[in-house]
Amino acid sequence: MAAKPLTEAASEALLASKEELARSITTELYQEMPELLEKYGERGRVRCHEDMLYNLEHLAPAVALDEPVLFARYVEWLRDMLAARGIPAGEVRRSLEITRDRVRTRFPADQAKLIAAVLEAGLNALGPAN
Amino acid sequence: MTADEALDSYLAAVLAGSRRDAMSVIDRARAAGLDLRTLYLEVFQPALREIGQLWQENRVTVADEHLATAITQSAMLRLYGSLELPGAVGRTLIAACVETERHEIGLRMLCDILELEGWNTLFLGATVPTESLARMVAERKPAAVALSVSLPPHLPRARTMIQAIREATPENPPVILLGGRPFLEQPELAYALGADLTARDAAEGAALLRKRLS
Repeated sequence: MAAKPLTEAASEALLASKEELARSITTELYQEMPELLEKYGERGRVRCHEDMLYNLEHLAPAVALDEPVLFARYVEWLRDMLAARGIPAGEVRRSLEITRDRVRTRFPADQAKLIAAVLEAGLNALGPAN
Repeated sequence: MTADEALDSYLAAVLAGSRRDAMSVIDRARAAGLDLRTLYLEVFQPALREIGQLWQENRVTVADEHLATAITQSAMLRLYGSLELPGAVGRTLIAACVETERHEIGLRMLCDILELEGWNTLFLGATVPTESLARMVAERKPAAVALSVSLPPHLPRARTMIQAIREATPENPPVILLGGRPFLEQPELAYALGADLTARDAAEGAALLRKRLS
Protein backbone atom coordinates (compact mmCIF):
# COMPACT_ATOMS: atom_id res chain seq x y z
CA MET A 1 0.00 0.00 0.00
CA ALA A 2 1.48 3.37 -1.02
CA ALA A 3 2.26 5.77 1.81
CA LYS A 4 0.19 8.90 1.96
CA PRO A 5 2.05 11.86 0.50
CA LEU A 6 3.50 14.24 3.08
CA THR A 7 1.41 17.12 1.72
CA GLU A 8 -1.81 15.20 2.34
CA ALA A 9 -0.72 13.98 5.77
CA ALA A 10 0.26 17.49 6.86
CA SER A 11 -2.98 18.96 5.56
CA GLU A 12 -5.09 16.33 7.32
CA ALA A 13 -3.19 16.77 10.58
CA LEU A 14 -3.81 20.51 10.36
CA LEU A 15 -7.53 20.10 9.81
CA ALA A 16 -7.86 17.44 12.49
CA SER A 17 -6.52 19.82 15.14
CA LYS A 18 -7.89 23.09 13.78
CA GLU A 19 -10.20 23.82 16.74
CA GLU A 20 -7.49 23.36 19.29
CA LEU A 21 -4.97 25.29 17.20
CA ALA A 22 -7.40 28.18 16.65
CA ARG A 23 -8.06 28.36 20.38
CA SER A 24 -4.38 28.31 21.26
CA ILE A 25 -3.48 30.96 18.66
CA THR A 26 -6.30 33.24 19.84
CA THR A 27 -5.25 32.89 23.46
CA GLU A 28 -1.64 33.73 22.68
CA LEU A 29 -2.62 36.68 20.45
CA TYR A 30 -4.77 38.15 23.20
CA GLN A 31 -2.09 37.55 25.81
CA GLU A 32 0.41 39.39 23.66
CA MET A 33 -1.99 42.19 22.73
CA PRO A 34 -4.39 42.73 25.65
CA GLU A 35 -5.62 45.93 24.01
CA LEU A 36 -7.52 43.72 21.56
CA LEU A 37 -10.04 42.92 24.26
CA GLU A 38 -10.76 46.57 24.80
CA LYS A 39 -10.81 47.30 21.10
CA TYR A 40 -13.06 44.44 19.98
CA GLY A 41 -14.73 43.23 23.16
CA GLU A 42 -15.58 39.66 24.06
CA ARG A 43 -17.43 39.30 20.73
CA GLY A 44 -14.15 40.16 19.02
CA ARG A 45 -12.44 37.27 20.74
CA VAL A 46 -15.07 34.87 19.43
CA ARG A 47 -14.65 36.36 15.96
CA CYS A 48 -10.88 35.96 16.28
CA HIS A 49 -11.29 32.24 16.96
CA GLU A 50 -13.53 31.94 13.89
CA ASP A 51 -11.03 33.90 11.81
CA MET A 52 -8.19 31.63 12.93
CA LEU A 53 -10.28 28.62 11.90
CA TYR A 54 -10.86 30.21 8.52
CA ASN A 55 -7.12 30.79 8.13
CA LEU A 56 -6.39 27.14 8.88
CA GLU A 57 -9.11 25.98 6.46
CA HIS A 58 -7.36 27.95 3.75
CA LEU A 59 -3.88 26.90 4.83
CA ALA A 60 -4.72 23.20 4.59
CA PRO A 61 -5.62 23.01 0.87
CA ALA A 62 -2.58 25.11 -0.05
CA VAL A 63 -0.46 22.53 1.83
CA ALA A 64 -2.36 19.55 0.38
CA LEU A 65 -1.93 20.78 -3.20
CA ASP A 66 1.56 22.18 -2.67
CA GLU A 67 0.36 25.62 -3.81
CA PRO A 68 1.71 28.34 -1.51
CA VAL A 69 0.39 30.97 -3.92
CA LEU A 70 -3.15 29.89 -3.01
CA PHE A 71 -2.52 30.84 0.60
CA ALA A 72 -0.66 34.02 -0.36
CA ARG A 73 -3.62 35.14 -2.42
CA TYR A 74 -5.97 34.34 0.47
CA VAL A 75 -3.85 36.44 2.85
CA GLU A 76 -3.96 39.40 0.45
CA TRP A 77 -7.73 39.10 0.23
CA LEU A 78 -7.94 38.82 4.01
CA ARG A 79 -5.71 41.84 4.60
CA ASP A 80 -7.83 44.02 2.30
CA MET A 81 -11.12 42.72 3.68
CA LEU A 82 -10.03 43.35 7.28
CA ALA A 83 -8.52 46.75 6.46
CA ALA A 84 -11.93 47.82 5.15
CA ARG A 85 -13.28 46.82 8.57
CA GLY A 86 -10.67 48.71 10.56
CA ILE A 87 -8.46 45.77 11.43
CA PRO A 88 -4.76 46.52 10.77
CA ALA A 89 -2.41 44.21 8.87
CA GLY A 90 -0.15 44.02 11.95
CA GLU A 91 -2.74 41.88 13.73
CA VAL A 92 -2.95 39.56 10.72
CA ARG A 93 0.83 39.35 10.69
CA ARG A 94 1.05 38.43 14.36
CA SER A 95 -1.69 35.81 14.07
CA LEU A 96 0.15 34.11 11.18
CA GLU A 97 3.48 34.27 13.01
CA ILE A 98 1.95 32.73 16.11
CA THR A 99 0.37 30.07 13.89
CA ARG A 100 3.79 29.28 12.49
CA ASP A 101 5.28 28.99 15.98
CA ARG A 102 2.47 26.70 17.12
CA VAL A 103 2.84 24.52 14.04
CA ARG A 104 6.56 24.09 14.69
CA THR A 105 6.02 22.83 18.23
CA ARG A 106 2.97 20.77 17.51
CA PHE A 107 3.62 18.79 14.35
CA PRO A 108 6.38 16.34 13.31
CA ALA A 109 9.33 18.21 11.78
CA ASP A 110 8.70 17.21 8.15
CA GLN A 111 5.04 18.27 8.30
CA ALA A 112 5.87 21.45 10.23
CA LYS A 113 8.44 22.47 7.64
CA LEU A 114 5.93 22.12 4.81
CA ILE A 115 3.21 24.03 6.63
CA ALA A 116 5.61 26.76 7.78
CA ALA A 117 6.75 27.30 4.18
CA VAL A 118 3.18 27.99 3.09
CA LEU A 119 2.66 30.31 6.08
CA GLU A 120 5.81 32.16 5.02
CA ALA A 121 4.31 32.69 1.57
CA GLY A 122 1.33 34.26 3.30
CA LEU A 123 3.51 36.46 5.51
CA ASN A 124 5.49 37.63 2.49
CA ALA A 125 2.26 38.56 0.76
CA LEU A 126 1.39 40.88 3.64
CA GLY A 127 4.29 43.08 2.69
CA PRO A 128 6.99 44.55 4.89
CA ALA A 129 6.22 44.78 8.58
CA ASN A 130 5.71 48.37 9.70
CA MET B 1 -32.23 49.83 -22.90
CA THR B 2 -28.63 48.81 -23.29
CA ALA B 3 -26.98 46.04 -21.31
CA ASP B 4 -25.09 48.66 -19.27
CA GLU B 5 -28.31 50.46 -18.42
CA ALA B 6 -29.91 47.17 -17.45
CA LEU B 7 -26.92 46.37 -15.26
CA ASP B 8 -27.10 49.71 -13.45
CA SER B 9 -30.82 49.41 -12.85
CA TYR B 10 -30.60 45.76 -11.84
CA LEU B 11 -27.78 46.45 -9.40
CA ALA B 12 -29.70 49.34 -7.85
CA ALA B 13 -32.83 47.21 -7.44
CA VAL B 14 -30.92 44.35 -5.89
CA LEU B 15 -29.01 46.60 -3.49
CA ALA B 16 -32.31 48.13 -2.45
CA GLY B 17 -33.49 44.59 -1.75
CA SER B 18 -36.41 44.84 -4.16
CA ARG B 19 -37.08 41.59 -5.96
CA ARG B 20 -40.06 43.19 -7.68
CA ASP B 21 -38.01 46.04 -9.12
CA ALA B 22 -35.26 43.63 -10.12
CA MET B 23 -37.74 41.47 -12.06
CA SER B 24 -39.21 44.57 -13.67
CA VAL B 25 -35.77 45.61 -14.92
CA ILE B 26 -35.27 42.18 -16.45
CA ASP B 27 -38.72 42.27 -18.08
CA ARG B 28 -37.93 45.66 -19.62
CA ALA B 29 -34.53 44.45 -20.76
CA ARG B 30 -36.14 41.45 -22.45
CA ALA B 31 -38.72 43.70 -24.12
CA ALA B 32 -35.86 45.86 -25.37
CA GLY B 33 -34.41 42.82 -27.09
CA LEU B 34 -31.63 41.70 -24.72
CA ASP B 35 -31.36 37.93 -24.93
CA LEU B 36 -30.66 35.40 -22.19
CA ARG B 37 -26.92 35.19 -22.85
CA THR B 38 -26.61 38.98 -22.65
CA LEU B 39 -28.62 39.15 -19.45
CA TYR B 40 -26.60 36.38 -17.85
CA LEU B 41 -23.16 37.64 -18.89
CA GLU B 42 -23.64 41.40 -18.98
CA VAL B 43 -26.14 41.93 -16.19
CA PHE B 44 -26.30 39.11 -13.62
CA GLN B 45 -22.65 38.11 -13.65
CA PRO B 46 -21.18 41.63 -13.33
CA ALA B 47 -23.86 42.56 -10.79
CA LEU B 48 -22.94 39.66 -8.52
CA ARG B 49 -19.23 40.31 -8.93
CA GLU B 50 -19.80 43.96 -8.05
CA ILE B 51 -21.72 43.00 -4.93
CA GLY B 52 -18.94 40.61 -3.92
CA GLN B 53 -16.52 43.48 -4.30
CA LEU B 54 -18.74 45.80 -2.27
CA TRP B 55 -18.83 43.23 0.53
CA GLN B 56 -15.06 42.97 0.38
CA GLU B 57 -14.92 46.74 0.86
CA ASN B 58 -17.39 46.52 3.75
CA ARG B 59 -19.95 48.57 1.89
CA VAL B 60 -22.65 45.91 1.92
CA THR B 61 -23.29 43.12 4.42
CA VAL B 62 -23.28 39.36 4.03
CA ALA B 63 -27.08 39.45 4.21
CA ASP B 64 -27.18 41.89 1.28
CA GLU B 65 -25.02 39.53 -0.70
CA HIS B 66 -27.20 36.51 0.10
CA LEU B 67 -30.25 38.49 -0.95
CA ALA B 68 -28.66 39.52 -4.23
CA THR B 69 -27.83 35.88 -4.97
CA ALA B 70 -31.34 34.72 -4.14
CA ILE B 71 -32.96 37.41 -6.28
CA THR B 72 -30.68 36.52 -9.17
CA GLN B 73 -31.46 32.82 -8.83
CA SER B 74 -35.18 33.71 -9.02
CA ALA B 75 -34.64 35.88 -12.06
CA MET B 76 -32.67 33.16 -13.83
CA LEU B 77 -35.33 30.56 -13.10
CA ARG B 78 -38.00 32.88 -14.43
CA LEU B 79 -36.02 33.56 -17.60
CA TYR B 80 -35.45 29.87 -18.15
CA GLY B 81 -39.19 29.31 -17.95
CA SER B 82 -39.69 31.67 -20.88
CA LEU B 83 -37.11 30.04 -23.13
CA GLU B 84 -37.82 28.33 -26.39
CA LEU B 85 -35.32 25.53 -26.55
CA PRO B 86 -33.99 24.36 -29.90
CA GLY B 87 -33.99 20.74 -31.04
CA ALA B 88 -31.74 18.35 -29.15
CA VAL B 89 -28.22 17.88 -30.57
CA GLY B 90 -27.66 14.64 -28.66
CA ARG B 91 -25.06 15.89 -26.20
CA THR B 92 -25.29 15.65 -22.45
CA LEU B 93 -23.56 17.61 -19.72
CA ILE B 94 -23.56 16.60 -16.07
CA ALA B 95 -22.89 19.59 -13.82
CA ALA B 96 -22.07 19.49 -10.10
CA CYS B 97 -21.03 22.12 -7.61
CA VAL B 98 -18.39 20.95 -5.15
CA GLU B 99 -19.64 23.09 -2.29
CA THR B 100 -22.66 25.11 -1.16
CA GLU B 101 -25.70 26.30 -3.08
CA ARG B 102 -24.80 29.95 -3.04
CA HIS B 103 -21.98 29.32 -5.44
CA GLU B 104 -23.99 27.40 -8.02
CA ILE B 105 -24.93 30.32 -10.23
CA GLY B 106 -22.02 30.11 -12.70
CA LEU B 107 -22.75 26.45 -13.23
CA ARG B 108 -26.45 27.14 -13.78
CA MET B 109 -25.54 29.76 -16.37
CA LEU B 110 -23.39 27.23 -18.21
CA CYS B 111 -26.24 24.70 -18.23
CA ASP B 112 -28.81 27.19 -19.51
CA ILE B 113 -26.50 28.50 -22.23
CA LEU B 114 -25.76 24.96 -23.40
CA GLU B 115 -29.48 24.11 -23.38
CA LEU B 116 -30.00 27.02 -25.75
CA GLU B 117 -27.54 25.24 -28.02
CA GLY B 118 -29.48 22.00 -27.89
CA TRP B 119 -27.58 20.19 -25.15
CA ASN B 120 -29.29 18.15 -22.49
CA THR B 121 -27.92 19.22 -19.12
CA LEU B 122 -28.21 17.39 -15.82
CA PHE B 123 -27.68 19.96 -13.10
CA LEU B 124 -26.99 18.16 -9.84
CA GLY B 125 -26.39 21.20 -7.70
CA ALA B 126 -24.19 21.08 -4.66
CA THR B 127 -22.86 18.47 -2.23
CA VAL B 128 -23.31 15.45 -4.43
CA PRO B 129 -21.44 12.48 -2.90
CA THR B 130 -18.43 11.66 -5.05
CA GLU B 131 -19.23 7.96 -5.56
CA SER B 132 -22.78 8.79 -6.62
CA LEU B 133 -21.57 11.36 -9.15
CA ALA B 134 -18.99 8.94 -10.57
CA ARG B 135 -21.59 6.20 -10.92
CA MET B 136 -24.01 8.55 -12.70
CA VAL B 137 -21.26 9.61 -15.11
CA ALA B 138 -20.39 5.95 -15.80
CA GLU B 139 -24.04 5.08 -16.47
CA ARG B 140 -25.09 8.10 -18.52
CA LYS B 141 -21.84 8.58 -20.42
CA PRO B 142 -22.14 12.36 -20.90
CA ALA B 143 -19.92 14.09 -23.43
CA ALA B 144 -18.81 16.47 -20.69
CA VAL B 145 -18.84 17.02 -16.95
CA ALA B 146 -18.63 20.50 -15.45
CA LEU B 147 -17.52 21.04 -11.85
CA SER B 148 -17.44 24.28 -9.93
CA VAL B 149 -15.44 25.29 -6.84
CA SER B 150 -15.62 28.75 -5.29
CA LEU B 151 -13.40 28.52 -2.24
CA PRO B 152 -9.96 26.97 -1.70
CA PRO B 153 -10.98 24.67 1.18
CA HIS B 154 -12.98 22.65 -1.36
CA LEU B 155 -10.23 22.28 -3.96
CA PRO B 156 -8.98 18.91 -2.65
CA ARG B 157 -12.50 17.57 -3.00
CA ALA B 158 -12.58 18.69 -6.64
CA ARG B 159 -9.43 16.66 -7.25
CA THR B 160 -10.99 13.59 -5.62
CA MET B 161 -14.16 13.97 -7.69
CA ILE B 162 -12.19 14.23 -10.93
CA GLN B 163 -10.12 11.17 -10.02
CA ALA B 164 -13.30 9.21 -9.25
CA ILE B 165 -14.89 10.22 -12.56
CA ARG B 166 -11.80 9.14 -14.49
CA GLU B 167 -11.62 5.81 -12.68
CA ALA B 168 -15.29 5.21 -13.44
CA THR B 169 -14.93 5.96 -17.17
CA PRO B 170 -11.91 4.11 -18.58
CA GLU B 171 -13.57 4.06 -22.01
CA ASN B 172 -15.10 7.16 -23.59
CA PRO B 173 -14.19 9.46 -20.73
CA PRO B 174 -16.09 12.75 -20.59
CA VAL B 175 -14.34 16.06 -21.10
CA ILE B 176 -14.00 17.58 -17.64
CA LEU B 177 -14.42 21.33 -17.28
CA LEU B 178 -13.49 22.83 -13.91
CA GLY B 179 -14.35 26.42 -13.09
CA GLY B 180 -14.67 28.83 -10.20
CA ARG B 181 -12.98 31.75 -8.52
CA PRO B 182 -9.66 30.08 -7.56
CA PHE B 183 -8.98 29.41 -11.25
CA LEU B 184 -9.48 32.97 -12.44
CA GLU B 185 -5.99 33.92 -11.35
CA GLN B 186 -4.48 30.45 -11.44
CA PRO B 187 -5.94 28.55 -14.40
CA GLU B 188 -3.06 26.06 -14.26
CA LEU B 189 -4.45 24.93 -10.91
CA ALA B 190 -7.43 23.39 -12.71
CA TYR B 191 -5.10 21.22 -14.79
CA ALA B 192 -3.09 20.31 -11.68
CA LEU B 193 -6.33 19.02 -10.20
CA GLY B 194 -6.89 16.81 -13.23
CA ALA B 195 -9.33 18.81 -15.34
CA ASP B 196 -9.18 18.99 -19.14
CA LEU B 197 -10.49 22.52 -19.43
CA THR B 198 -11.04 25.61 -17.35
CA ALA B 199 -12.98 28.77 -18.17
CA ARG B 200 -13.52 32.20 -16.66
CA ASP B 201 -17.27 32.17 -17.05
CA ALA B 202 -20.20 30.27 -18.52
CA ALA B 203 -19.77 31.76 -22.01
CA GLU B 204 -16.14 30.76 -22.23
CA GLY B 205 -16.97 27.33 -20.79
CA ALA B 206 -19.65 26.74 -23.43
CA ALA B 207 -17.32 27.92 -26.21
CA LEU B 208 -14.49 25.64 -25.06
CA LEU B 209 -16.80 22.63 -24.86
CA ARG B 210 -18.22 23.37 -28.30
CA LYS B 211 -14.73 23.63 -29.76
CA ARG B 212 -13.43 20.53 -27.98
CA LEU B 213 -16.32 18.33 -29.03
CA SER B 214 -16.81 19.42 -32.61
